[in-house]
Amino acid sequence: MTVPRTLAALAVGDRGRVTDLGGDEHLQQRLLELGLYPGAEVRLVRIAPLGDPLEFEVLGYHLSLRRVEAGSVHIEAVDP
Amino acid sequence: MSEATVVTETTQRHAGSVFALVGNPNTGKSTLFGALTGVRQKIANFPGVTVEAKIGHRARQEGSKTFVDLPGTYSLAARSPDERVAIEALLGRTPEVPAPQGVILVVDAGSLDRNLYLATQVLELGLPTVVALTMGDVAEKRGIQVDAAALSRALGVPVVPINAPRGEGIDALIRALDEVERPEPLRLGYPEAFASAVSELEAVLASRAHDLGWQPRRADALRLLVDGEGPLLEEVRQKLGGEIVSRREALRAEAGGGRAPSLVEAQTRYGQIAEWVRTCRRKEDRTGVTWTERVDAILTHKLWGTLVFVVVMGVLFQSIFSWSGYFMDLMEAGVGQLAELVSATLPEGLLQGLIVDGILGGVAGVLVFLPQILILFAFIAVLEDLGYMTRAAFLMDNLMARFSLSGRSFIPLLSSFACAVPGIMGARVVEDRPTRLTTIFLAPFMSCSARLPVYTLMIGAFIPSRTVLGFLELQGLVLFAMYFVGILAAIPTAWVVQRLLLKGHRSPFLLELPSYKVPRLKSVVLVLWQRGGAFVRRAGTIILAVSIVVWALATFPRSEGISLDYAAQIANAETEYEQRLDQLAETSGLATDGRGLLDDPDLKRALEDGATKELAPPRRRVFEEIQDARSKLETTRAALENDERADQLEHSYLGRAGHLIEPAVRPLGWDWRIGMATLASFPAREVIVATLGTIFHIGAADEESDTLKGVLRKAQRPDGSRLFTLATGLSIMVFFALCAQCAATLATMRRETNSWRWPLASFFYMTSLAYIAALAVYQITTAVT
Repeated sequence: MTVPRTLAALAVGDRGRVTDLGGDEHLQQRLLELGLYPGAEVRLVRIAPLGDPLEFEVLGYHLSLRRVEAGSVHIEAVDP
Repeated sequence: MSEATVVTETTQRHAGSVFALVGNPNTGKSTLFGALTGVRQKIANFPGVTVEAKIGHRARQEGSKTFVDLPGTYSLAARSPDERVAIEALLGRTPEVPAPQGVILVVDAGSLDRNLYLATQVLELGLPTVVALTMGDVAEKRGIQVDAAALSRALGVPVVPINAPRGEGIDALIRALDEVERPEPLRLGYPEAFASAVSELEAVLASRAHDLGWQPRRADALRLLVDGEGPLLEEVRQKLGGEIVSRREALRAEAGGGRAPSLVEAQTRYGQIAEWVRTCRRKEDRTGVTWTERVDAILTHKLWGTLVFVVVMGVLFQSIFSWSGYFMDLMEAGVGQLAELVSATLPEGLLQGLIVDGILGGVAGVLVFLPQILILFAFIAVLEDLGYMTRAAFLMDNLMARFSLSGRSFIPLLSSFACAVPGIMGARVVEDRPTRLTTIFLAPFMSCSARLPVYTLMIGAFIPSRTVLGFLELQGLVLFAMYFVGILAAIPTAWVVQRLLLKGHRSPFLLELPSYKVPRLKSVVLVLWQRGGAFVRRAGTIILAVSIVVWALATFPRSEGISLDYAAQIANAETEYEQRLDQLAETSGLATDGRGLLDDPDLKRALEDGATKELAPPRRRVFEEIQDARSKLETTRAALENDERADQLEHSYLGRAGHLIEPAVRPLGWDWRIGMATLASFPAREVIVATLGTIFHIGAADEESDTLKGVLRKAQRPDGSRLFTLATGLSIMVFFALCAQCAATLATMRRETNSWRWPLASFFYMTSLAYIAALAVYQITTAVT
């Protein structure tokens, strides 16, 4: 099984664990405040009908990110 | 101004009992605020930013309390002036709201971890704090139970579970506020290097408190260390100089120890949160899908979601344009009756003109659109309460992103089809400043309902009613095209605005999708009341003021020569009428003169009460002759009065301005009269209809008036050629589709962007665009027809 590298590469319904954040300083800080910190588990709930943005579940709530920002959140696979 | 006075007053009277409500968005914070204070709330606006705080009171025997509802936030780190203001207000550093002595920290039991992130930051401030634990019932349905007592032990401050919609826990919360004490500021286990970097900055800031103008806290030092380029760093750079800023750079490297300081901060906070949560939260292992997820599976589905979206927006649109029609007619009729009453009571003259044409005209201009806007606001409030608005943003984001907008821009732009003013006000929901400004700039391009009368008149007068391509109605097609013109112009405009006017920091599109909730009537009504009131205040005052100015320009200077001339003509007509009566008296032998004839008892009864039955044939013939003479006099009088109004208008400042700009508007196929009517419609586009009515000698007119349409069709230029051709009609419509002829829009733009730059840019850009487009349309249409 290939390991998706960022949140943007998750398949619907799959989970990943945040390992690292890319992108600019402001974006990183925002993502951290919203719960996307290293160690947090994230699930891709669905993709918007037009292909973007994506809806994730993190810390028990639902958060929508665009692909470009989701691509800056690095993840590792989570054991099912 | 009055808000500021109230604030100072409350600061003095309620010193010691001011509490700020702080919390994440979607936690029920505003509902709690409503439950604490009731409907009487003051809005505190801050200069230079679009966020606002609400101030409300709760009166009790033991002394009243003041509550300040601050904008919802996920963190106390401020990346924009908007975010900074909320923190400044919390720390009592803004004059616009009373300094809070304590904090009500609103925490959603359903997403405790994320909510406690903000809680750690607030508790570091060391302000007296009570946690209001909301959404316990919703969390429980998802198998989450939060032990308030255990959470209170963990945080070291009182925790009160509340259910604001049902009013549960409010009294307990008030009691907790009565007894709350100042806690020790929370000290988290930051890494040594990080903590000492904060301490060093804290000492530096403390020693320069005088230069800063406020008393720095340790939390300020932490924010200075961690946060990137933003308002705090900018303030420190300006007030304390670059030396501290370079020292900060060095400290950041030390504090992070290879990691970004924000990462260190977040990991420390989440580490502490994980410990707290272990002691106070129980989660049942429920694999079942939540209600919200089930609904979302439909509402954000490729097919069903899109379908529901189209239907919801269709109904919204329909309600704006059809359902409001009845109320709009009612409003129009009401104002019309008031105008008639004034006309009947006041003597004809300047005062009557000022009240009827200047003031009531302006009031009508606002009130006519009020039903439509209230329906729009009600719809939006219900959808917002429900949680559908964020889903609409989620669905539309990708489409809007292609025009450098965001999903949140959709509703403001849709609202602008009713009126750009609520659209621009609604653009506050767009978090990213460049996107918000673009949304504001584009709002007036959406074809608002004030353009409809212009389209209706022009289409009715100049577009033949026939079917094209087998099934399309040509008039409807042209109307649709007018709506399309605005959207078409908005697309390149978005590009231009983004490339030329907006540089600087872009914040990402981050959208929380909250659980669906059943909308509550109380909160919908409250929102309706507040937003409707804001619309009337803002649009109303400016439209009223500008209407009065335009009325004055259209009225002065009054030409005595014209008045006397027409008075003489009217006197002539009256003399003619009297002579006719005398003649009738003589030929019939019923009286010696006209006056005597009218005193004839039978004729008098017939004229006054319409009792014509008993009239013998000779009298009947005389009666009919009198009626004829009377109606002829009235027609002549009305025509002369209309002519006088038109003549006076032509010689007024406005008329002169029309003549002055004639060379400029001639290439659009216009003459001075259309130019003048366009100038007169600066306060609001629909005014052009009434002005055309006056200048084309038919007195009061509306867009449905066949008389006006007929007169326009026959209107001639001095050389005898027809003034209004198809090309002229189209050029007027295109001009009004694209121009910025709305004082209220420009004023709202100024208010929401806090600068004249945007409304001025909008006015010049839109007017130029409208001119060029109208020119092109006129020249092309003239060439091909």
